[in-house]
Amino acid sequence: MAGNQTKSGQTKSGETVLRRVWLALAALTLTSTLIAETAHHSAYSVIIIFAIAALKAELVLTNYMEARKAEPHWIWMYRGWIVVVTVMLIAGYLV
Amino acid sequence: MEESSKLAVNRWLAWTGPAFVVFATLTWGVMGHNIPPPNMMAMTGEQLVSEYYGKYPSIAPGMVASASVGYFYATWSALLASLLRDENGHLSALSLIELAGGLLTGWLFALCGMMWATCAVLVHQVDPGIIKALHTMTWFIFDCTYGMTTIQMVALGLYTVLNKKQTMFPAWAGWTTIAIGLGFIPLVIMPFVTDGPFTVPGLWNFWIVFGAWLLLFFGVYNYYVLKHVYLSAEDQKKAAGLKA
Amino acid sequence: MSDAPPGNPADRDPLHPGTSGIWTFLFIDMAVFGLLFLVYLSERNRLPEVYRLGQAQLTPLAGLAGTLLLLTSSWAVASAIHALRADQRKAATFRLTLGIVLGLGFVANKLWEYHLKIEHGIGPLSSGFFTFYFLITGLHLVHLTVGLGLIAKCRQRLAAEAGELSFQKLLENVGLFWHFVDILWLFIFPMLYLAGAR
Repeated sequence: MAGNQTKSGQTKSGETVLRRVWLALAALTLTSTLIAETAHHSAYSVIIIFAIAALKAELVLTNYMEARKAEPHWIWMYRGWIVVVTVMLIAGYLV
Repeated sequence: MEESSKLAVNRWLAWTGPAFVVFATLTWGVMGHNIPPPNMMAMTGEQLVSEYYGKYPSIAPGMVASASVGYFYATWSALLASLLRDENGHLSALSLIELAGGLLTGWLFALCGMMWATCAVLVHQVDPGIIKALHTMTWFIFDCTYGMTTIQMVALGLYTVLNKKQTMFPAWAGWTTIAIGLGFIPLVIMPFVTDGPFTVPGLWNFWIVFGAWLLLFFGVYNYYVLKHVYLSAEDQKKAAGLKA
Repeated sequence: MSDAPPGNPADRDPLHPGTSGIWTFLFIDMAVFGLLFLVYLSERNRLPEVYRLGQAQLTPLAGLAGTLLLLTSSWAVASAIHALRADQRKAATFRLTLGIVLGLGFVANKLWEYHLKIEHGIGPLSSGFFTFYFLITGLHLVHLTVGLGLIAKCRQRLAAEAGELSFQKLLENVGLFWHFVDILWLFIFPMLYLAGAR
């Protein structure tokens, strides 16, 4: 039976990317909340809020879940879900 | 039994699956005016008579016919159970649960069909309150005993994903089936609501759950079962993950 | 020796994140939540005043706190997996612990929020909106709790099994499940707390 192997050592830059992504996610979250609290339910605020959610999900998908390294159809299916849900939510709130 | 007879029997049985879909849609769905069914919890007995049973003469023959068709679901489920073997060729608890669930669901279809037929035939002969009671009881039974179909689907789904040696059914079909089986759970809300997504014709309880059941479970597994039974006996053994 | 087919090569590839099965399972779970969102929107359009009133009674700061806690927990678990791959066992264990603590923070925050509501006489049967509020956040919370259990189990086994591919795959699968729980909340938060709430 072949021996088990771990992946080779992660470079410092991998850690940095994760940290930067977290910073971006936190900043986007605060921005989104601020817009919601101050924008008085305009159509633009609804679109921006859900677009931000989609952007955050994409960041988690590619950086935390490493979807680019998975079998190629997954990243497109998951992105498809993000797009469908975002559009659905925007449409649902604007109708 | 000769090998060729065995193959032939299974192939015929496999077609009872599509037959169930076609005939059930025609009899229960179209003739029975169940797409979607009336929202009984928000209707009086008089309304059920005037807007449903008394209005559509096709309901009575449709329901009687649907009771005959219910057994196709049972035969298909039995064929499916016979395919769910371990690598030594043995049936397991999962196969038997799938079988039990399928038989009970087929019986449910037949039983409820005849109860609705009773309402349709007696609509002008008994009190509207009795019509409502019988109609409502039948739907309570049809919907809230979803567990039988859920256990069939979860058992089938578990066999699909846990048996790594079989190639009859892809893993995604197994996961989807389990998800749909669990998605039936909100059906228990149905007796207590008069509007919203969890009523008998509600967005979740009817359209999403029954739609997913038909297209993503029954349709999908029908496809793979048909594909499987038309393989040669040798290829079927390999696909089932049986030891050479 | 059986003639059995080999199974998915992704499951043995150390460079492929997790196994094939988890991606399938998560996609389906996401699809189910997507359908729940659809039903929520359909109800919201049927009863706009009930939903607006309900949303106005939520505590956005609690939702915000939960979002930040879960995002950070997600980072911690992703970071732990990187450490595992580099065979930095202590760092991996520490980060998993951090992930769990932050996750428990989310649970505490959510339970406190529920407590606040119930104290004011608001429960799942109070209105159509609150039925969905408790259903969606409750279902999410169940997933999150299962996730916490899985992370804890991995953390416990890490010291002994860190060098094995099968453990790396397990932790990656658990991590993927955790990020999925995070992604769900990224949409639940704006859907319930932000959009149309004012």
